[in-house]
Amino acid sequence: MLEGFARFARNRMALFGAAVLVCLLLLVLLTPVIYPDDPFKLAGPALQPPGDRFLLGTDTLGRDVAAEIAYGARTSLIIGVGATLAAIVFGAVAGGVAGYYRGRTETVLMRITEFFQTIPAFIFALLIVAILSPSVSSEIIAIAAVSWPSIARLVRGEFVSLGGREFVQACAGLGASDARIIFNHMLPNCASSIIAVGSLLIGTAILLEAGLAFLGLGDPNVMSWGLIISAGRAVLRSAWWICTFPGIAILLTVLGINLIGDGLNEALNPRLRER
Amino acid sequence: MNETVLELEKLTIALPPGADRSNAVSDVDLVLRAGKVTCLIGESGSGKSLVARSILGLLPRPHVRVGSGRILFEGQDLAVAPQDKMRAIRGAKIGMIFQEPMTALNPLHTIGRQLDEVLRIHTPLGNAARRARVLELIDSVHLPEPGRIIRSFPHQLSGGQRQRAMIAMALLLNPRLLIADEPTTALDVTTQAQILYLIRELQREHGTSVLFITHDFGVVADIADEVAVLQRGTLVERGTAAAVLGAPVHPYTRALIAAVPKLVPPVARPAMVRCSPPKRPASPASGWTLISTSPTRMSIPASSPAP
Repeated sequence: MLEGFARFARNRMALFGAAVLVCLLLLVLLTPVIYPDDPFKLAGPALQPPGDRFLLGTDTLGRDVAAEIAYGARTSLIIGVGATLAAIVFGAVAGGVAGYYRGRTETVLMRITEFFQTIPAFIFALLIVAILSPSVSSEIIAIAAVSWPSIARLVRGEFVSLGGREFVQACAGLGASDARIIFNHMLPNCASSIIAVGSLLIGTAILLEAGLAFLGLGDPNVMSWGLIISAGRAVLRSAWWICTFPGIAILLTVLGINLIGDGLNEALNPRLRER
Repeated sequence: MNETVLELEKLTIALPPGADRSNAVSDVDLVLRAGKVTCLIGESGSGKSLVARSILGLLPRPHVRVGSGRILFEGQDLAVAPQDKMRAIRGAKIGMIFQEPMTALNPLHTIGRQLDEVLRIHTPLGNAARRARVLELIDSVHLPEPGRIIRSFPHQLSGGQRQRAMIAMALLLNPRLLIADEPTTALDVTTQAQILYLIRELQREHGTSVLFITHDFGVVADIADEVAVLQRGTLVERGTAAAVLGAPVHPYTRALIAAVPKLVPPVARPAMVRCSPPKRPASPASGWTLISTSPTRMSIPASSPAP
Protein backbone atom coordinates (compact mmCIF):
# COMPACT_ATOMS: atom_id res chain seq x y z
CA MET A 1 0.00 0.00 0.00
CA LEU A 2 2.88 2.39 0.84
CA GLU A 3 4.38 1.64 -2.55
CA GLY A 4 1.04 2.54 -4.08
CA PHE A 5 1.08 5.93 -2.42
CA ALA A 6 4.63 6.55 -3.58
CA ARG A 7 3.55 5.80 -7.15
CA PHE A 8 0.52 8.04 -6.70
CA ALA A 9 2.78 10.85 -5.44
CA ARG A 10 4.96 10.64 -8.56
CA ASN A 11 1.94 11.47 -10.72
CA ARG A 12 1.81 15.29 -10.90
CA MET A 13 -1.70 15.55 -12.27
CA ALA A 14 -3.00 13.27 -9.53
CA LEU A 15 -1.22 15.43 -6.94
CA PHE A 16 -2.93 18.49 -8.39
CA GLY A 17 -6.28 16.71 -8.08
CA ALA A 18 -5.47 15.72 -4.51
CA ALA A 19 -4.51 19.34 -3.69
CA VAL A 20 -7.86 20.57 -5.05
CA LEU A 21 -9.71 18.00 -2.99
CA VAL A 22 -7.74 18.85 0.17
CA CYS A 23 -8.58 22.56 -0.32
CA LEU A 24 -12.23 21.63 -0.76
CA LEU A 25 -12.22 19.48 2.39
CA LEU A 26 -10.51 22.27 4.37
CA LEU A 27 -13.14 24.69 3.09
CA VAL A 28 -15.93 22.35 4.18
CA LEU A 29 -14.36 21.84 7.62
CA LEU A 30 -13.65 25.53 8.19
CA THR A 31 -16.96 26.83 6.84
CA PRO A 32 -18.65 27.08 10.27
CA VAL A 33 -15.65 29.14 11.49
CA ILE A 34 -15.29 31.48 8.50
CA TYR A 35 -18.99 31.90 7.82
CA PRO A 36 -20.78 31.23 11.10
CA ASP A 37 -24.00 32.71 9.72
CA ASP A 38 -26.69 30.92 7.76
CA PRO A 39 -25.83 31.23 4.03
CA PHE A 40 -29.49 32.09 3.32
CA LYS A 41 -29.17 35.17 5.56
CA LEU A 42 -29.06 38.55 3.84
CA ALA A 43 -25.56 39.89 4.38
CA GLY A 44 -25.62 43.24 2.58
CA PRO A 45 -26.88 45.14 -0.46
CA ALA A 46 -27.93 43.05 -3.49
CA LEU A 47 -25.69 42.56 -6.56
CA GLN A 48 -22.46 43.87 -5.03
CA PRO A 49 -19.50 43.04 -7.31
CA PRO A 50 -16.53 41.15 -5.82
CA GLY A 51 -14.59 43.47 -3.61
CA ASP A 52 -13.21 44.09 -0.13
CA ARG A 53 -16.36 43.54 1.87
CA PHE A 54 -17.70 40.59 -0.12
CA LEU A 55 -14.86 38.58 -1.62
CA LEU A 56 -17.03 37.09 -4.38
CA GLY A 57 -19.83 39.66 -4.33
CA THR A 58 -23.49 39.26 -3.35
CA ASP A 59 -26.44 37.79 -5.24
CA THR A 60 -29.82 39.20 -6.23
CA LEU A 61 -31.09 39.03 -2.66
CA GLY A 62 -27.89 40.34 -1.07
CA ARG A 63 -26.53 37.00 0.16
CA ASP A 64 -22.75 36.50 0.31
CA VAL A 65 -21.73 34.35 -2.71
CA ALA A 66 -18.53 33.15 -0.99
CA ALA A 67 -20.52 31.84 1.98
CA GLU A 68 -23.00 30.20 -0.37
CA ILE A 69 -20.19 28.43 -2.23
CA ALA A 70 -18.64 27.25 1.04
CA TYR A 71 -21.91 25.73 2.23
CA GLY A 72 -22.64 24.40 -1.26
CA ALA A 73 -19.32 22.51 -1.20
CA ARG A 74 -20.55 20.50 1.76
CA THR A 75 -23.79 19.59 -0.03
CA SER A 76 -21.96 18.62 -3.20
CA LEU A 77 -19.52 16.37 -1.35
CA ILE A 78 -22.18 14.70 0.77
CA ILE A 79 -24.37 13.98 -2.23
CA GLY A 80 -21.48 13.05 -4.55
CA VAL A 81 -19.87 10.63 -2.10
CA GLY A 82 -23.14 9.29 -0.68
CA ALA A 83 -24.69 8.58 -4.06
CA THR A 84 -21.48 6.99 -5.36
CA LEU A 85 -21.12 4.70 -2.33
CA ALA A 86 -24.73 3.61 -2.64
CA ALA A 87 -24.25 2.98 -6.37
CA ILE A 88 -21.05 0.98 -5.77
CA VAL A 89 -22.58 -1.21 -3.07
CA PHE A 90 -25.69 -1.94 -5.09
CA GLY A 91 -23.89 -2.26 -8.44
CA ALA A 92 -21.12 -4.47 -7.04
CA VAL A 93 -23.58 -6.87 -5.45
CA ALA A 94 -25.79 -7.07 -8.56
CA GLY A 95 -22.85 -7.37 -10.96
CA GLY A 96 -20.95 -9.73 -8.67
CA VAL A 97 -23.84 -12.13 -8.27
CA ALA A 98 -24.54 -12.03 -12.02
CA GLY A 99 -20.90 -12.59 -12.96
CA TYR A 100 -20.32 -15.31 -10.39
CA TYR A 101 -23.41 -17.46 -10.84
CA ARG A 102 -23.88 -16.82 -14.60
CA GLY A 103 -26.78 -18.63 -16.26
CA ARG A 104 -30.31 -17.47 -15.60
CA THR A 105 -29.39 -15.29 -12.64
CA GLU A 106 -27.05 -13.34 -14.90
CA THR A 107 -29.63 -12.98 -17.66
CA VAL A 108 -32.26 -11.59 -15.30
CA LEU A 109 -29.91 -9.22 -13.45
CA MET A 110 -28.24 -7.90 -16.57
CA ARG A 111 -31.55 -7.30 -18.37
CA ILE A 112 -32.70 -5.26 -15.37
CA THR A 113 -29.40 -3.35 -15.45
CA GLU A 114 -29.77 -2.64 -19.16
CA PHE A 115 -33.35 -1.54 -18.61
CA PHE A 116 -32.08 1.08 -16.15
CA GLN A 117 -29.32 2.09 -18.52
CA THR A 118 -31.62 2.75 -21.44
CA ILE A 119 -33.51 5.47 -19.55
CA PRO A 120 -31.73 8.84 -19.98
CA ALA A 121 -29.96 9.37 -16.66
CA PHE A 122 -30.80 12.98 -15.99
CA ILE A 123 -34.48 12.70 -16.86
CA PHE A 124 -34.80 9.56 -14.74
CA ALA A 125 -33.13 11.34 -11.80
CA LEU A 126 -35.53 14.28 -12.24
CA LEU A 127 -38.46 11.90 -12.18
CA ILE A 128 -37.32 10.15 -9.01
CA VAL A 129 -36.68 13.42 -7.15
CA ALA A 130 -40.05 14.78 -8.31
CA ILE A 131 -41.78 11.64 -7.00
CA LEU A 132 -39.89 11.53 -3.67
CA SER A 133 -40.10 15.33 -3.13
CA PRO A 134 -36.83 17.31 -3.20
CA SER A 135 -34.43 16.65 -0.33
CA VAL A 136 -30.79 15.60 0.11
CA SER A 137 -31.70 11.95 0.66
CA SER A 138 -33.98 11.77 -2.36
CA GLU A 139 -31.23 13.33 -4.48
CA ILE A 140 -28.82 10.66 -3.25
CA ILE A 141 -31.34 7.92 -4.07
CA ALA A 142 -32.03 9.38 -7.51
CA ILE A 143 -28.36 9.76 -8.44
CA ALA A 144 -27.50 6.30 -7.12
CA ALA A 145 -30.39 4.82 -9.10
CA VAL A 146 -29.01 6.20 -12.36
CA SER A 147 -25.34 5.43 -11.54
CA TRP A 148 -25.35 1.80 -10.38
CA PRO A 149 -25.77 0.14 -13.81
CA SER A 150 -22.28 1.15 -14.97
CA ILE A 151 -20.76 -0.34 -11.81
CA ALA A 152 -22.86 -3.49 -12.15
CA ARG A 153 -21.73 -4.02 -15.73
CA LEU A 154 -18.11 -3.35 -14.85
CA VAL A 155 -18.11 -5.76 -11.89
CA ARG A 156 -19.94 -8.42 -13.89
CA GLY A 157 -17.37 -8.17 -16.68
CA GLU A 158 -14.46 -8.38 -14.24
CA PHE A 159 -16.07 -11.34 -12.47
CA VAL A 160 -16.60 -13.21 -15.71
CA SER A 161 -12.94 -12.81 -16.63
CA LEU A 162 -11.78 -13.58 -13.07
CA GLY A 163 -14.03 -16.65 -12.90
CA GLY A 164 -11.90 -18.30 -15.56
CA ARG A 165 -8.71 -17.53 -13.62
CA GLU A 166 -7.26 -20.49 -11.84
CA PHE A 167 -7.00 -18.92 -8.40
CA VAL A 168 -10.77 -18.59 -8.22
CA GLN A 169 -11.07 -22.26 -9.19
CA ALA A 170 -8.34 -23.03 -6.70
CA CYS A 171 -10.27 -21.26 -3.92
CA ALA A 172 -13.34 -23.27 -4.79
CA GLY A 173 -11.10 -26.35 -4.88
CA LEU A 174 -9.96 -25.55 -1.35
CA GLY A 175 -13.51 -25.56 -0.08
CA ALA A 176 -14.15 -21.81 0.16
CA SER A 177 -17.80 -20.77 0.21
CA ASP A 178 -19.32 -18.65 -2.56
CA ALA A 179 -19.55 -15.58 -0.31
CA ARG A 180 -15.89 -15.95 0.71
CA ILE A 181 -14.78 -16.25 -2.91
CA ILE A 182 -16.87 -13.26 -3.99
CA PHE A 183 -15.97 -10.91 -1.13
CA ASN A 184 -12.46 -11.99 -0.13
CA HIS A 185 -10.99 -12.91 -3.47
CA MET A 186 -12.89 -11.57 -6.44
CA LEU A 187 -14.06 -8.12 -5.31
CA PRO A 188 -10.60 -7.04 -4.06
CA ASN A 189 -9.22 -8.07 -7.45
CA CYS A 190 -11.52 -5.62 -9.20
CA ALA A 191 -11.06 -2.91 -6.54
CA SER A 192 -8.80 -0.84 -8.77
CA SER A 193 -11.37 -0.70 -11.57
CA ILE A 194 -14.15 0.06 -9.10
CA ILE A 195 -12.08 2.86 -7.55
CA ALA A 196 -11.31 4.34 -10.96
CA VAL A 197 -14.89 4.24 -12.19
CA GLY A 198 -16.25 5.18 -8.75
CA SER A 199 -14.14 8.33 -8.56
CA LEU A 200 -15.42 9.38 -11.98
CA LEU A 201 -18.93 8.70 -10.67
CA ILE A 202 -18.39 11.18 -7.80
CA GLY A 203 -17.71 13.84 -10.41
CA THR A 204 -20.79 12.85 -12.42
CA ALA A 205 -22.90 12.79 -9.26
CA ILE A 206 -21.80 16.33 -8.35
CA LEU A 207 -22.73 17.48 -11.85
CA LEU A 208 -26.11 15.73 -11.64
CA GLU A 209 -26.78 17.32 -8.27
CA ALA A 210 -25.93 20.77 -9.63
CA GLY A 211 -28.25 20.10 -12.57
CA LEU A 212 -31.11 19.02 -10.30
CA ALA A 213 -30.68 22.05 -8.06
CA PHE A 214 -30.45 24.31 -11.11
CA LEU A 215 -33.88 23.07 -12.21
CA GLY A 216 -35.26 23.74 -8.75
CA LEU A 217 -35.30 20.09 -7.66
CA GLY A 218 -32.58 20.41 -5.06
CA ASP A 219 -33.33 20.53 -1.37
CA PRO A 220 -34.73 24.08 -0.94
CA ASN A 221 -33.40 24.28 2.64
CA VAL A 222 -29.83 23.35 1.78
CA MET A 223 -27.46 25.64 -0.09
CA SER A 224 -25.91 24.07 -3.20
CA TRP A 225 -23.88 25.17 -6.20
CA GLY A 226 -26.69 24.43 -8.64
CA LEU A 227 -29.08 26.55 -6.58
CA ILE A 228 -26.72 29.56 -6.68
CA ILE A 229 -26.33 29.31 -10.46
CA SER A 230 -30.08 28.87 -10.84
CA ALA A 231 -30.71 32.02 -8.82
CA GLY A 232 -28.06 34.02 -10.68
CA ARG A 233 -28.83 33.03 -14.26
CA ALA A 234 -31.44 35.81 -14.68
CA VAL A 235 -28.78 38.45 -14.06
CA LEU A 236 -25.94 36.64 -15.85
CA ARG A 237 -25.14 39.64 -18.08
CA SER A 238 -25.25 42.30 -15.35
CA ALA A 239 -23.85 40.32 -12.41
CA TRP A 240 -21.48 37.73 -13.90
CA TRP A 241 -19.93 36.76 -10.58
CA ILE A 242 -22.99 34.96 -9.23
CA CYS A 243 -22.89 32.17 -11.83
CA THR A 244 -19.16 32.20 -12.56
CA PHE A 245 -17.70 31.34 -9.16
CA PRO A 246 -19.93 28.33 -8.38
CA GLY A 247 -19.30 27.22 -11.97
CA ILE A 248 -15.54 27.37 -11.39
CA ALA A 249 -16.03 25.48 -8.12
CA ILE A 250 -17.90 22.68 -9.95
CA LEU A 251 -15.28 22.57 -12.71
CA LEU A 252 -12.30 22.38 -10.31
CA THR A 253 -13.95 19.79 -8.08
CA VAL A 254 -14.96 17.46 -10.90
CA LEU A 255 -11.58 17.88 -12.62
CA GLY A 256 -9.70 17.23 -9.37
CA ILE A 257 -11.73 14.13 -8.59
CA ASN A 258 -11.19 12.74 -12.09
CA LEU A 259 -7.43 13.31 -11.88
CA ILE A 260 -7.35 11.54 -8.52
CA GLY A 261 -9.31 8.66 -10.04
CA ASP A 262 -6.80 8.27 -12.87
CA GLY A 263 -3.90 8.48 -10.43
CA LEU A 264 -5.40 5.88 -8.12
CA ASN A 265 -6.08 3.56 -11.01
CA GLU A 266 -2.48 3.76 -12.15
CA ALA A 267 -1.08 3.35 -8.63
CA LEU A 268 -3.31 0.52 -7.44
CA ASN A 269 -3.70 -1.57 -10.57
CA PRO A 270 -1.45 -4.61 -10.13
CA ARG A 271 -1.20 -5.05 -13.89
CA LEU A 272 0.24 -1.57 -14.37
CA ARG A 273 2.39 -1.97 -11.25
CA GLU A 274 4.67 -4.60 -12.76
CA ARG A 275 5.93 -2.25 -15.48
CA MET B 1 -1.70 -49.85 1.73
CA ASN B 2 -3.50 -50.59 -1.52
CA GLU B 3 -7.03 -49.71 -0.44
CA THR B 4 -9.14 -47.86 -2.94
CA VAL B 5 -9.41 -44.12 -2.31
CA LEU B 6 -11.49 -43.06 -5.27
CA GLU B 7 -13.27 -44.98 -7.94
CA LEU B 8 -14.68 -43.68 -11.19
CA GLU B 9 -17.46 -45.89 -12.54
CA LYS B 10 -18.43 -45.40 -16.16
CA LEU B 11 -17.96 -41.63 -15.81
CA THR B 12 -19.38 -39.67 -18.73
CA ILE B 13 -19.04 -35.89 -18.91
CA ALA B 14 -21.51 -34.22 -21.26
CA LEU B 15 -20.51 -31.23 -23.38
CA PRO B 16 -22.93 -28.54 -24.54
CA PRO B 17 -24.50 -28.98 -27.98
CA GLY B 18 -22.24 -27.67 -30.73
CA ALA B 19 -18.98 -28.87 -29.20
CA ASP B 20 -16.70 -31.11 -31.27
CA ARG B 21 -18.18 -34.20 -29.62
CA SER B 22 -21.17 -34.87 -27.45
CA ASN B 23 -19.23 -36.20 -24.45
CA ALA B 24 -15.90 -34.88 -23.21
CA VAL B 25 -15.18 -38.33 -21.80
CA SER B 26 -17.31 -41.41 -21.97
CA ASP B 27 -17.46 -44.49 -19.76
CA VAL B 28 -14.19 -43.88 -17.92
CA ASP B 29 -13.42 -46.48 -15.26
CA LEU B 30 -10.53 -45.67 -12.99
CA VAL B 31 -9.43 -46.78 -9.54
CA LEU B 32 -7.08 -44.63 -7.46
CA ARG B 33 -5.34 -46.44 -4.62
CA ALA B 34 -3.76 -45.12 -1.45
CA GLY B 35 -0.02 -44.53 -1.74
CA LYS B 36 -0.03 -44.85 -5.52
CA VAL B 37 0.52 -42.27 -8.25
CA THR B 38 -1.85 -42.75 -11.16
CA CYS B 39 -0.98 -40.82 -14.31
CA LEU B 40 -3.82 -39.86 -16.59
CA ILE B 41 -2.22 -39.14 -19.92
CA GLY B 42 -3.57 -37.84 -23.20
CA GLU B 43 -3.09 -35.04 -25.70
CA SER B 44 -4.78 -31.63 -25.50
CA GLY B 45 -8.53 -31.90 -25.68
CA SER B 46 -8.65 -35.54 -24.65
CA GLY B 47 -10.73 -34.59 -21.59
CA LYS B 48 -8.14 -35.35 -18.91
CA SER B 49 -8.51 -32.04 -17.07
CA LEU B 50 -12.29 -32.32 -17.05
CA VAL B 51 -11.99 -35.70 -15.33
CA ALA B 52 -9.98 -34.00 -12.57
CA ARG B 53 -12.43 -31.14 -12.23
CA SER B 54 -15.43 -33.44 -12.17
CA ILE B 55 -14.00 -35.18 -9.09
CA LEU B 56 -14.01 -31.87 -7.22
CA GLY B 57 -17.33 -30.80 -8.72
CA LEU B 58 -15.67 -27.87 -10.45
CA LEU B 59 -16.82 -28.41 -14.02
CA PRO B 60 -17.36 -25.12 -15.89
CA ARG B 61 -20.87 -24.01 -15.09
CA PRO B 62 -23.46 -24.40 -16.38
CA HIS B 63 -22.91 -26.20 -19.68
CA VAL B 64 -20.47 -28.98 -18.87
CA ARG B 65 -21.79 -31.55 -16.43
CA VAL B 66 -21.50 -35.17 -15.38
CA GLY B 67 -23.84 -37.02 -17.74
CA SER B 68 -23.80 -40.44 -16.13
CA GLY B 69 -21.62 -42.68 -14.02
CA ARG B 70 -20.44 -42.42 -10.43
CA ILE B 71 -17.49 -40.89 -8.58
CA LEU B 72 -17.12 -42.93 -5.41
CA PHE B 73 -15.10 -41.40 -2.57
CA GLU B 74 -15.41 -42.74 0.98
CA GLY B 75 -18.71 -44.39 0.17
CA GLN B 76 -20.29 -41.27 -1.33
CA ASP B 77 -21.06 -40.48 -4.93
CA LEU B 78 -19.44 -37.08 -5.48
CA ALA B 79 -21.28 -36.63 -8.78
CA VAL B 80 -24.53 -36.08 -6.91
CA ALA B 81 -23.20 -34.79 -3.56
CA PRO B 82 -24.72 -31.49 -2.35
CA GLN B 83 -22.58 -28.33 -2.47
CA ASP B 84 -21.97 -28.07 1.29
CA LYS B 85 -20.72 -31.68 1.42
CA MET B 86 -18.42 -30.95 -1.53
CA ARG B 87 -17.05 -27.85 0.21
CA ALA B 88 -16.14 -29.90 3.26
CA ILE B 89 -14.30 -32.41 1.05
CA ARG B 90 -12.48 -29.94 -1.19
CA GLY B 91 -9.19 -28.85 0.29
CA ALA B 92 -9.57 -31.08 3.34
CA LYS B 93 -9.86 -34.57 1.86
CA ILE B 94 -9.03 -33.90 -1.78
CA GLY B 95 -6.35 -31.36 -2.59
CA MET B 96 -5.59 -29.95 -6.00
CA ILE B 97 -2.59 -28.30 -7.64
CA PHE B 98 -2.82 -26.44 -10.88
CA GLN B 99 -0.70 -25.98 -13.97
CA GLU B 100 0.25 -22.31 -13.61
CA PRO B 101 0.92 -21.36 -9.99
CA MET B 102 1.02 -17.66 -10.89
CA THR B 103 -2.63 -17.68 -11.87
CA ALA B 104 -3.67 -20.23 -9.27
CA LEU B 105 -2.69 -17.93 -6.41
CA ASN B 106 -4.57 -14.74 -5.61
CA PRO B 107 -2.17 -11.93 -6.67
CA LEU B 108 -3.39 -9.60 -3.91
CA HIS B 109 -2.89 -11.86 -0.89
CA THR B 110 0.37 -12.99 0.67
CA ILE B 111 1.31 -16.66 0.50
CA GLY B 112 0.86 -16.92 4.27
CA ARG B 113 -2.65 -15.49 4.16
CA GLN B 114 -3.71 -17.88 1.42
CA LEU B 115 -2.41 -20.90 3.29
CA ASP B 116 -3.96 -19.63 6.49
CA GLU B 117 -7.32 -19.30 4.79
CA VAL B 118 -7.47 -23.05 4.09
CA LEU B 119 -7.03 -23.77 7.80
CA ARG B 120 -9.53 -21.07 8.68
CA ILE B 121 -12.14 -22.67 6.42
CA HIS B 122 -11.69 -26.25 7.56
CA THR B 123 -10.38 -26.23 11.12
CA PRO B 124 -11.20 -24.53 14.42
CA LEU B 125 -7.49 -23.89 15.13
CA GLY B 126 -6.41 -20.63 16.78
CA ASN B 127 -4.09 -18.03 15.25
CA ALA B 128 -0.86 -19.40 16.72
CA ALA B 129 -1.66 -23.03 15.87
CA ARG B 130 -2.56 -22.10 12.29
CA ARG B 131 0.63 -20.14 11.88
CA ALA B 132 2.71 -23.01 13.24
CA ARG B 133 1.07 -25.43 10.81
CA VAL B 134 1.60 -23.07 7.87
CA LEU B 135 5.29 -22.65 8.72
CA GLU B 136 5.67 -26.40 9.14
CA LEU B 137 4.20 -27.05 5.69
CA ILE B 138 6.28 -24.30 4.05
CA ASP B 139 9.31 -26.00 5.54
CA SER B 140 8.24 -29.47 4.42
CA VAL B 141 8.10 -28.36 0.77
CA HIS B 142 11.70 -27.15 1.19
CA LEU B 143 11.07 -23.45 0.71
CA PRO B 144 13.89 -21.36 2.21
CA GLU B 145 13.18 -18.83 4.99
CA PRO B 146 9.54 -19.73 5.74
CA GLY B 147 9.15 -16.49 7.69
CA ARG B 148 9.93 -14.46 4.60
CA ILE B 149 7.92 -16.66 2.22
CA ILE B 150 4.66 -16.27 4.12
CA ARG B 151 4.97 -12.50 3.89
CA SER B 152 5.63 -12.58 0.12
CA PHE B 153 3.14 -11.96 -2.63
CA PRO B 154 2.95 -14.51 -5.46
CA HIS B 155 4.73 -12.22 -7.94
CA GLN B 156 7.72 -11.99 -5.61
CA LEU B 157 8.48 -15.72 -5.84
CA SER B 158 9.91 -17.76 -8.69
CA GLY B 159 7.79 -20.24 -10.61
CA GLY B 160 9.21 -23.22 -8.74
CA GLN B 161 8.71 -21.52 -5.37
CA ARG B 162 5.12 -20.67 -6.24
CA GLN B 163 4.45 -24.27 -7.20
CA ARG B 164 5.96 -25.43 -3.91
CA ALA B 165 3.67 -23.01 -2.09
CA MET B 166 0.71 -24.44 -4.03
CA ILE B 167 1.73 -27.95 -3.01
CA ALA B 168 2.00 -26.86 0.62
CA MET B 169 -1.49 -25.40 0.35
CA ALA B 170 -2.92 -28.57 -1.15
CA LEU B 171 -1.31 -30.75 1.52
CA LEU B 172 -2.04 -28.56 4.59
CA LEU B 173 -4.81 -30.82 5.81
CA ASN B 174 -3.24 -34.13 4.77
CA PRO B 175 -5.79 -34.98 2.07
CA ARG B 176 -6.29 -38.60 1.09
CA LEU B 177 -6.20 -37.70 -2.58
CA LEU B 178 -4.10 -35.13 -4.40
CA ILE B 179 -5.09 -34.11 -7.90
CA ALA B 180 -2.23 -32.57 -9.86
CA ASP B 181 -3.31 -31.00 -13.16
CA GLU B 182 -0.11 -30.73 -15.24
CA PRO B 183 1.74 -29.18 -12.29
CA THR B 184 5.10 -29.16 -14.04
CA THR B 185 4.15 -28.08 -17.55
CA ALA B 186 4.78 -24.38 -16.91
CA LEU B 187 8.18 -24.96 -15.26
CA ASP B 188 11.64 -25.36 -16.71
CA VAL B 189 13.15 -28.82 -16.82
CA THR B 190 15.33 -28.67 -13.69
CA THR B 191 12.54 -27.20 -11.58
CA GLN B 192 10.21 -29.77 -13.08
CA ALA B 193 12.39 -32.58 -11.82
CA GLN B 194 12.59 -31.05 -8.34
CA ILE B 195 8.82 -30.61 -8.13
CA LEU B 196 8.23 -34.20 -9.28
CA TYR B 197 10.66 -35.41 -6.67
CA LEU B 198 8.91 -33.34 -4.02
CA ILE B 199 5.47 -34.68 -4.90
CA ARG B 200 6.85 -38.23 -4.83
CA GLU B 201 8.54 -37.66 -1.47
CA LEU B 202 5.50 -36.12 0.25
CA GLN B 203 3.15 -38.63 -1.27
CA ARG B 204 5.23 -41.57 0.05
CA GLU B 205 5.53 -39.97 3.46
CA HIS B 206 1.77 -39.60 3.94
CA GLY B 207 0.46 -42.47 1.81
CA THR B 208 -1.52 -39.99 -0.30
CA SER B 209 -3.10 -41.19 -3.48
CA VAL B 210 -2.18 -38.95 -6.43
CA LEU B 211 -4.02 -38.43 -9.70
CA PHE B 212 -1.39 -36.88 -11.93
CA ILE B 213 -2.57 -35.39 -15.18
CA THR B 214 -0.02 -34.85 -17.90
CA HIS B 215 0.68 -35.13 -21.61
CA ASP B 216 4.35 -35.83 -21.10
CA PHE B 217 5.57 -39.44 -21.08
CA GLY B 218 8.89 -38.29 -19.66
CA VAL B 219 7.04 -37.22 -16.52
CA VAL B 220 5.07 -40.47 -16.48
CA ALA B 221 8.27 -42.50 -16.48
CA ASP B 222 9.54 -40.48 -13.51
CA ILE B 223 6.57 -40.62 -11.23
CA ALA B 224 3.84 -43.08 -12.18
CA ASP B 225 2.87 -46.31 -10.47
CA GLU B 226 -0.12 -46.77 -12.71
CA VAL B 227 -0.98 -45.25 -16.06
CA ALA B 228 -4.27 -44.61 -17.82
CA VAL B 229 -4.29 -43.37 -21.41
CA LEU B 230 -7.12 -41.20 -22.64
CA GLN B 231 -7.78 -40.67 -26.35
CA ARG B 232 -10.53 -38.25 -27.33
CA GLY B 233 -12.55 -39.04 -24.24
CA THR B 234 -12.12 -42.80 -24.18
CA LEU B 235 -9.82 -44.73 -21.91
CA VAL B 236 -7.82 -46.85 -24.34
CA GLU B 237 -5.27 -48.45 -22.09
CA ARG B 238 -4.54 -48.76 -18.41
CA GLY B 239 -2.14 -50.77 -16.28
CA THR B 240 1.00 -50.51 -14.22
CA ALA B 241 3.61 -48.02 -15.37
CA ALA B 242 6.05 -50.80 -16.23
CA ALA B 243 3.47 -52.62 -18.35
CA VAL B 244 2.20 -49.59 -20.24
CA LEU B 245 5.60 -48.03 -20.84
CA GLY B 246 7.41 -51.29 -21.50
CA ALA B 247 4.86 -53.11 -23.62
CA PRO B 248 2.12 -50.76 -24.81
CA VAL B 249 -0.78 -52.62 -26.37
CA HIS B 250 -2.90 -49.88 -27.91
CA PRO B 251 -1.56 -48.20 -31.08
CA TYR B 252 -2.32 -44.75 -29.65
CA THR B 253 -0.16 -45.42 -26.59
CA ARG B 254 2.65 -46.67 -28.82
CA ALA B 255 2.38 -43.56 -30.97
CA LEU B 256 2.47 -41.29 -27.90
CA ILE B 257 5.54 -43.04 -26.55
CA ALA B 258 7.24 -42.80 -29.92
CA ALA B 259 6.53 -39.07 -29.97
CA VAL B 260 8.79 -38.50 -26.95
CA PRO B 261 11.92 -36.84 -28.35
CA LYS B 262 15.07 -38.90 -27.96
CA LEU B 263 18.51 -37.49 -27.37
CA VAL B 264 19.91 -39.44 -30.33
CA PRO B 265 18.94 -37.84 -33.63
CA PRO B 266 16.19 -39.89 -35.26
CA VAL B 267 16.74 -41.44 -38.66
CA ALA B 268 13.17 -41.16 -39.83
CA ARG B 269 11.12 -39.38 -37.23
CA PRO B 270 7.40 -40.02 -37.21
CA ALA B 271 5.67 -36.72 -37.82
CA MET B 272 2.21 -35.38 -37.19
CA VAL B 273 0.33 -35.56 -40.45
CA ARG B 274 -2.48 -33.14 -41.01
CA CYS B 275 -5.47 -34.13 -43.06
CA SER B 276 -6.62 -31.19 -45.10
CA PRO B 277 -8.80 -29.20 -44.92
CA PRO B 278 -8.40 -28.37 -41.20
CA LYS B 279 -12.09 -28.37 -40.40
CA ARG B 280 -13.90 -30.11 -37.56
CA PRO B 281 -13.16 -33.81 -37.79
CA ALA B 282 -16.02 -35.99 -38.89
CA SER B 283 -14.90 -39.06 -36.99
CA PRO B 284 -12.40 -39.64 -34.21
CA ALA B 285 -9.99 -41.19 -36.68
CA SER B 286 -9.41 -38.11 -38.84
CA GLY B 287 -8.30 -34.52 -38.34
CA TRP B 288 -5.37 -33.61 -36.14
CA THR B 289 -4.31 -36.95 -34.87
CA LEU B 290 -1.61 -39.48 -35.23
CA ILE B 291 -2.49 -41.51 -38.28
CA SER B 292 -0.04 -44.33 -38.24
CA THR B 293 -0.67 -47.42 -36.24
CA SER B 294 3.02 -48.13 -36.33
CA PRO B 295 5.16 -45.74 -34.32
CA THR B 296 8.06 -45.98 -36.70
CA ARG B 297 6.56 -45.50 -40.11
CA MET B 298 3.84 -43.14 -41.21
CA SER B 299 1.49 -43.74 -44.05
CA ILE B 300 -0.60 -41.05 -45.66
CA PRO B 301 -4.27 -42.02 -45.47
CA ALA B 302 -6.04 -42.55 -48.75
CA SER B 303 -8.61 -39.88 -47.99
CA SER B 304 -6.14 -37.01 -48.12
CA PRO B 305 -4.61 -35.74 -51.35
CA ALA B 306 -0.97 -36.54 -51.96
CA PRO B 307 1.28 -33.56 -51.22
